Amino acid sequence: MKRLKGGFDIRIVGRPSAIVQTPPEPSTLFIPLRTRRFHFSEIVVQDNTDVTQGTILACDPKQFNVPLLASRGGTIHLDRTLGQIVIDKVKPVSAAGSNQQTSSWPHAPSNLDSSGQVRFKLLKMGAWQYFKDAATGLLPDPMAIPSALIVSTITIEPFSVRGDVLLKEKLASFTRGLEHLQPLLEYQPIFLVFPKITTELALKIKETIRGFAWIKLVEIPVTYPFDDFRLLARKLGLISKSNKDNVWTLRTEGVLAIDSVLTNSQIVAEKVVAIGGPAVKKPAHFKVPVGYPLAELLHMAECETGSRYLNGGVFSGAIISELQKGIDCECGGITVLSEQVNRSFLKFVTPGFDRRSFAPAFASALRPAFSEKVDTALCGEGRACVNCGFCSKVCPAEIVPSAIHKLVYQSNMDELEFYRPDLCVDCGLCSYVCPSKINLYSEIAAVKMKLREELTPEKAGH
Amino acid sequence: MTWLLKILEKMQPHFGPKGKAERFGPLFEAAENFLFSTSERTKSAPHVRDPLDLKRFMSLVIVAMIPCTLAGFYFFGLRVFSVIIVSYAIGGIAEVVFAVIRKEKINEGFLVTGLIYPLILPPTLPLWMVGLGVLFGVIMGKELFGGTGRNLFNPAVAGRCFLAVSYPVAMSSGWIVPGSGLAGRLTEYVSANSLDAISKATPLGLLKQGIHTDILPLFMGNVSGCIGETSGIAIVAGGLFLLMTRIASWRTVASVLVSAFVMAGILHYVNPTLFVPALWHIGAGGLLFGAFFMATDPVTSPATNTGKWFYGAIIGVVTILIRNFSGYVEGVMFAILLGNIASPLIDEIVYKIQMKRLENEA
Repeated sequence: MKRLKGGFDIRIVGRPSAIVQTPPEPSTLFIPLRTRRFHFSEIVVQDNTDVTQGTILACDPKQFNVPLLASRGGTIHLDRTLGQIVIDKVKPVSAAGSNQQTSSWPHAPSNLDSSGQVRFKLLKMGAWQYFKDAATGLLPDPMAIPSALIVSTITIEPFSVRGDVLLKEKLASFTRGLEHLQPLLEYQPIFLVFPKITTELALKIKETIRGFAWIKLVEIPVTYPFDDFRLLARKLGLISKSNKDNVWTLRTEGVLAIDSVLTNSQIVAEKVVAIGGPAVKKPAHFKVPVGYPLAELLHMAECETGSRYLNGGVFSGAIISELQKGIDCECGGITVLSEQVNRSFLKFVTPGFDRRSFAPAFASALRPAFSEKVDTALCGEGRACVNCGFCSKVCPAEIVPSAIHKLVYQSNMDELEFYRPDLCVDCGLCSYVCPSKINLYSEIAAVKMKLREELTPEKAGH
Repeated sequence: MTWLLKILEKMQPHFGPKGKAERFGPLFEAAENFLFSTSERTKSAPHVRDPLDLKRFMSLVIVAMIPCTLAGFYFFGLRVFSVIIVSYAIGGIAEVVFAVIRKEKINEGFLVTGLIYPLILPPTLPLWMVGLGVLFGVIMGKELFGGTGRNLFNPAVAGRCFLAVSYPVAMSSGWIVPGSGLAGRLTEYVSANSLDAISKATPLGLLKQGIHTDILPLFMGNVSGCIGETSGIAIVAGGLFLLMTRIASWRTVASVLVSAFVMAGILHYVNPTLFVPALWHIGAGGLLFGAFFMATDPVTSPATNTGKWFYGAIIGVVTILIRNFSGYVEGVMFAILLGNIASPLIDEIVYKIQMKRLENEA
């Protein structure tokens, strides 16, 4: 594997503990139809009907009809205006998954081979949604053959559900899931990405994996965003400019879901969601069904009101709109940041023992590593680029954000392509470190979009 | 300090759009954001930002220059203070006028220029020349290019070069015999009229006449020369602080000093009677100050690590060449200007190579 460059580690207060809490069963579920990757626009259930756990509620016609499943049984209320399906009078589950209905699941077409049958089952039982294509980030074609599979046990961005939390009690399930993955491949390797640390759990997993010849262990430093799949695929030499196809990726959660579907024929109705951040008093991991009321979860974690709630981490998370009422099926973590920005007197000349920055420009550089209390402050005024070069030093994709910024400033679109904005992995670190507070991340995103638009009509012409 | 913040917040609407004093908005904004950290918040991902901003960035450079400024006070007396005040006042006015005309924000970059510039002037330079030079530096060197961040040349160096070319006599005379003892010249106000304190030449000037002074005073600072350039120890102390905070790049500094050392070393090896030892050149004149505080200006130096090595090498080698083979006594500022011109080109070349390497990546 080629050496990973750039990256930056930030530590934020409000890290959820490794204990997974199970909150009380909800009476109503609010299942959002839109997630980061999916739009379940084709609703297949009727209003005011009763469904059982595991019923397909809707699917995304643009992405291989990936289904949205009912995480609990109950009565359906369609709420198209708010983009959600409400399940009322939720039937509690007694023993895990005991009342899952399996008969209504569509049977696999008989012309499929055994591998095809497995894929069909994974797709229809909601485990396929965990797969991602390394190059595009989209859902891969279930019937295609990947050129490699990358499985990652780590998520570094604060705060997402950590792999070690998921793995702690499910190690057997994880290894079984890995075994299930093998028939999907035809001698292509599985790269298991592992943090370069030696905890008891890590050693235990490594010990277990040792017997699996088709799994290659890849150890990476725990620095954001080295867990990015596109970056890993690039560094492992799996994708290149001429060959971007079919590198599949999966995280711990996905492997556990595959095991649940293929070993027990049960859908994964619950998700582990991390709630953390400086504005959370009791950061924790919660095991909840998809659609669990957001307000109740935030209340349980004792979040400060009027804060910014992010679906995902501080770098790449999206602001949760007030309209979203429940946990979506792709949510891994909710980060809560305070919107209260204090204006302190002559802050820039204070030593800054509590502020850590990319350049050791604060007295905190003299302290050992500590967790920082961050908020949504811009931390300075927008200025012209001073060419400090921090953005290119921190960039894991090894591109030069400041050069792209200058070309954008000159509206020089012709040369932009040369600086490879398409390699950007959307980590947001360039914007984070910029002392001139330029939002390089969104500038590069806009450039990428523009270049893609320019490219599409050409392709269509051929 | 909440009372002050309340007053400022109450005044804010007058300086905002359609306020009575909208024209002076930049000035108010600068004052408000100088006193209190900004209330701006992030709007989209990434939702948190690094606490380092340009104000901190620039103030650290000023902190790093405190030792050599104090050394300047000690060796050359209280007149240094007037030179600094004139530099800040005249340059500050130019900066504000441009910000108001262009309706842009006042940039912190000037805080650094305003201090670097007086430190590289002869201590008895007439104050009107100080003002003229800083005006030239700020306007021609920076504002005409679009302000801090878009300038090609280091404004302080541009201002000094202008003076050196336009007023060569004033810029190469009026040196002060450095103070000594416990109080140095801290109680004196030495001007061009104080005949007993005036010295004829700096060590580099004497070198042109074939007189080779000792090395040690060059590093201690008790030699005549520009205000902040004489004390090697003070410069290195402040400079190391700057390198440790990574505001200045150690690569640039190392490259300038090593290349100058090697170049001077080669010359000394070829003809030891004509050329002085390499270490002497490192300590003499403005090389140390230039290497630590002027060559490292991020705006006018390359952003790439590889580029910094080449850029530094240009400065180091050209300085020694000018010192030994031209009519000019000191070559650091011309060398830095030359490096400034080359730096966008160097960056471009490095980027080309860097991107070539990424050609097949996806």
